[in-house]
Amino acid sequence: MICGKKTLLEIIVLIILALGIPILGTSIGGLVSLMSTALIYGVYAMGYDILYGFTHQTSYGHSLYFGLGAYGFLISVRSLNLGFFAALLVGIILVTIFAIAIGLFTVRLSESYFVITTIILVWIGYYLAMNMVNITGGDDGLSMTVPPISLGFIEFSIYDPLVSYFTFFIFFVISLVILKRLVSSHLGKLFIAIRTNPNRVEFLGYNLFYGKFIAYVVSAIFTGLAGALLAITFRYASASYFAINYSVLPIIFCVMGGAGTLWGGFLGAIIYLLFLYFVSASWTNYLIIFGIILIAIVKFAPKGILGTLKKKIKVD
Amino acid sequence: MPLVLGVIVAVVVIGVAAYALTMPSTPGTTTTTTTTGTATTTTTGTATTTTTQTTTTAAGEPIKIGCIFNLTGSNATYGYTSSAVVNVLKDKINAEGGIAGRPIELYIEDDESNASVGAEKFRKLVEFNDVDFILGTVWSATDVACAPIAKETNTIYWSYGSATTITSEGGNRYVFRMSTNVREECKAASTFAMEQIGTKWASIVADFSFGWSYEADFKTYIEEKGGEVLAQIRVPAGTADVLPYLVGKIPAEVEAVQLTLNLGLIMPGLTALNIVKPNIPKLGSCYILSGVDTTQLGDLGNNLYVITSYPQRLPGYETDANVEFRELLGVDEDGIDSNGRWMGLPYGWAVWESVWAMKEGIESSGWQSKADNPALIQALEGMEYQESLEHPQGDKILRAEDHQCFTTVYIEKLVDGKTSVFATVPMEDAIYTPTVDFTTEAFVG
Amino acid sequence: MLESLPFSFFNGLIWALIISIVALGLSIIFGTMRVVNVAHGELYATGAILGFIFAVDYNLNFWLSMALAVAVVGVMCAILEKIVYREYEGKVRTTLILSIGLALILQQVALIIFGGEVALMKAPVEGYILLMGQAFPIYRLVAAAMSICFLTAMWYFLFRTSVGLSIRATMQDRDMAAGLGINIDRISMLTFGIGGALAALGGVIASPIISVHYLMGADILTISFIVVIVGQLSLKGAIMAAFLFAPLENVLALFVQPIIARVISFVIMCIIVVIRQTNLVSRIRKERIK
Repeated sequence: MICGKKTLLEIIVLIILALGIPILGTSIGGLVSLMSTALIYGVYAMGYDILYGFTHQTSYGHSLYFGLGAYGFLISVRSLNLGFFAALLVGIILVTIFAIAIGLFTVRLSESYFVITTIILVWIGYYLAMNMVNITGGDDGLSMTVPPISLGFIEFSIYDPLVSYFTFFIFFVISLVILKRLVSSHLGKLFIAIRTNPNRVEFLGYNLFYGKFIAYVVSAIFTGLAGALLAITFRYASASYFAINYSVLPIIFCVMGGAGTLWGGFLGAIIYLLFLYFVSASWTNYLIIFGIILIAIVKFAPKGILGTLKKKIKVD
Repeated sequence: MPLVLGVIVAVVVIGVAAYALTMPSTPGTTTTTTTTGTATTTTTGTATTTTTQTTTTAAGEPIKIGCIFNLTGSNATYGYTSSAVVNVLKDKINAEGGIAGRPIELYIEDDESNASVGAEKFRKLVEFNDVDFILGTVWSATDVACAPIAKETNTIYWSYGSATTITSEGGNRYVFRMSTNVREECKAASTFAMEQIGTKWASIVADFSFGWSYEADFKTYIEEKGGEVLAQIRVPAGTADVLPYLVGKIPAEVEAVQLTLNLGLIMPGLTALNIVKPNIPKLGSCYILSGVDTTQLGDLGNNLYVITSYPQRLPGYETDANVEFRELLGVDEDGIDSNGRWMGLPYGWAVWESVWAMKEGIESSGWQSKADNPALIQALEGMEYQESLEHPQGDKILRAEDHQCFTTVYIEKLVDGKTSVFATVPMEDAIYTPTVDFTTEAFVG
Repeated sequence: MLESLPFSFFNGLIWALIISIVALGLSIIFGTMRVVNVAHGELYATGAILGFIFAVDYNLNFWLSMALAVAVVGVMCAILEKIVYREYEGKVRTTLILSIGLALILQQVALIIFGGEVALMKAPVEGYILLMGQAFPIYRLVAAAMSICFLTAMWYFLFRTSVGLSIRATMQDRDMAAGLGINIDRISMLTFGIGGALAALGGVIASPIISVHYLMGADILTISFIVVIVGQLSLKGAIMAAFLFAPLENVLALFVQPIIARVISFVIMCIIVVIRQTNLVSRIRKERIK
């Protein structure tokens, strides 16, 4: 088992995240919270990257699954009194069902139709979430008390800041590992073939629809997981989780960080959160900068930060 | 690949084990910094006119006040006001000796009219900026999201949104509200409505939770007082063409209309009503005329009454406190500031008064840091305030059970293109039975 | 309830016209450049805001304000096409990112210039007439008439002039059009300019009916997209789809809650799109034959 340069780099980053951040966090207040949210958005971005970066399907309505995952967890906890993992499972199952149902019909659509249809679907989700106030709390939203994470012999409370951070870190790592394995598997090669030349995929006898569909459902699942994690960290979900800005965020993350790199989205999320934490207070219109960055990236560094670095360093 | 997995697992296991062995016994505690400052205790149990300490200038460890305001997003017009008010407040308090002799520092953040951004900023303010308490937003969703986090982080939070839940099921002992909420406004308004406008009503609300809560509470209180709500009409919150939703929907017997519309719907709503039922008496929910240039309304404003917790305009309400308050803010008699921007005074007063309330609470309880929050909270619970520069909105109480402020509710009427105070509903008519009792709630840490 | 049916339907027709103008702009931009212009809503809002600023701050009359607002946005879009979009036309993914960036910038600039307040644009014509027993603001009829005029003008431009022919040719087959000697660069600039101008026009026309607010573009964007894809990306189709959607939603709102009326309308449009685009019916038939 020889470790490539890239894997070594990844391990180093993970160690920094696992140990470095909490240690730094004892002297820099707010660092751990910022990185917790970054890890959650990182899961969202990684899931989205499978769809966007690996199979070149641009969904503009992924916050539908984000909201479903969040509410799946929240409602399980509030109304069904389920435990942590059970509630998480409910959220994921809910997302999977919707993703399969929706994906069956929308994945076949051509690029621009796909984009626009996902917009319509997410708005339907948003309006319904706003309307079903008794279930979702509408735009005011609902709060919950997060159940403890029970591993049988030991129990952890998410209300402890370090437990919270490590929980999100572990989910991030699990997502990363699963998605990396997916990408390097046979299916992953199909994804890359789809993004390189969709027509040839069919000529070679592979099922284009199957590949795109699996990518869609997988990305929706991790999006739903991210939604549930965000609901956990804020102990809160509202119809705003379905709003269009949560659909645009993963696109921004992936484009900035580098689509098709899995880690790129995480980097994009960190940059966004740094702006949110430190620039927003002094310049509330900081989103202009993101608009300019997006245009600049397309023009000058279309592969995003990590994509461009990868090219320069030429690691495997 | 398996190597990666192995290393990660090892690291995490080591980390978790190390942590578990050193885990503190009471989860949920945050490190509190004890500050030493010159704490002068002035005994003010029920706050009357505060004695301004003109002799001592503020010194010592500053008191850090975090602010989460709606500076962008759909509620952006209110964030402007909150920001302006709090800055004037800081200058005044610091010039007069600060709070308990300590200067105040402001840390203002934007919630982008988005609850999860607001919650993120809450954590940032507490953990990175180390603030002592936080002033919140007019956007109810952010208040709902921040309430549990306020308790978790032992940080007192002042809400200015109007969703009733913030001082009932969605609230807790660390959340206070220095502004009126939907239930309070409906109860107060229903008295005025029944006595002075009519007994047969129709309700027109925007199709989202703010509108629905008004719709529900208004009906409850009108019916309690023997009136009828003959139609409950909803208008989509996004599209602003109200007319098609009103045509043919208002029964002929309806004497008056209750209106709850968000910013974008106000003008089209009034226009549509003017077509369908010209001159019908209209009772608008709190601040329905936010940001609207009332001189442009013309006939649209006929018979328009507006519920408000504080009159936007000075004429007819020239108490000493009000005159001075508005002078300090630099607004003219219409509530327009020196930049020509509309100031949302019906929300601005709440920001102003909550900080003075904190000052009174801090100085009377001997609070020095967040570790002393229990004493401060208990001092605030049930505190009464009298009309003064510090409390220009009027006499009020901060009810102990639910931390909700109860006060006079004003009814403005549009006369000659401008609003003026038409009636006042006394505090007693606005008070409803509390649905929670935070005084039995244990403190955190 | 049912007495209001003719009124709701008629009002829906008026909205269909305004939506058609905006959707037409979206359609020609997409047709010629394959740009899914998610900034279209912001262009609509910018038009309305500029119209308001010209009318109120500079005291120009409504028509002049409208003309200026539309011209400013049109020119701005033409320039943007040249400096931002030019090399990426034809690529849906890439231009989508550019449009997202543009939308972010436009929205924040609108907030800086106009603030978070809401304002009503004064209609050029006031007063009501009695229509079907219901008082109807004259301006809405004026808006409808204006819209019909502009749509007709656009029809004439696209179908009866050589420039319009070039635009349609580019929409049909960009490479072939270039091969036939059409100056694609110039056409692209013109199309983006006109597309943006149409969005701004829709915004100004709608502003006396709804209010002017910096976030007003959100709704119209989704509706325009729906209408464009139900119209299968053709110009006539977009207009027909607008006439299906707006009256449908208005009439449904008589019977169900407004949000639900909108959701149902969206769902119906979605189903139409999916069935047509994935050839669902013929595929089901093929399965049956097997």
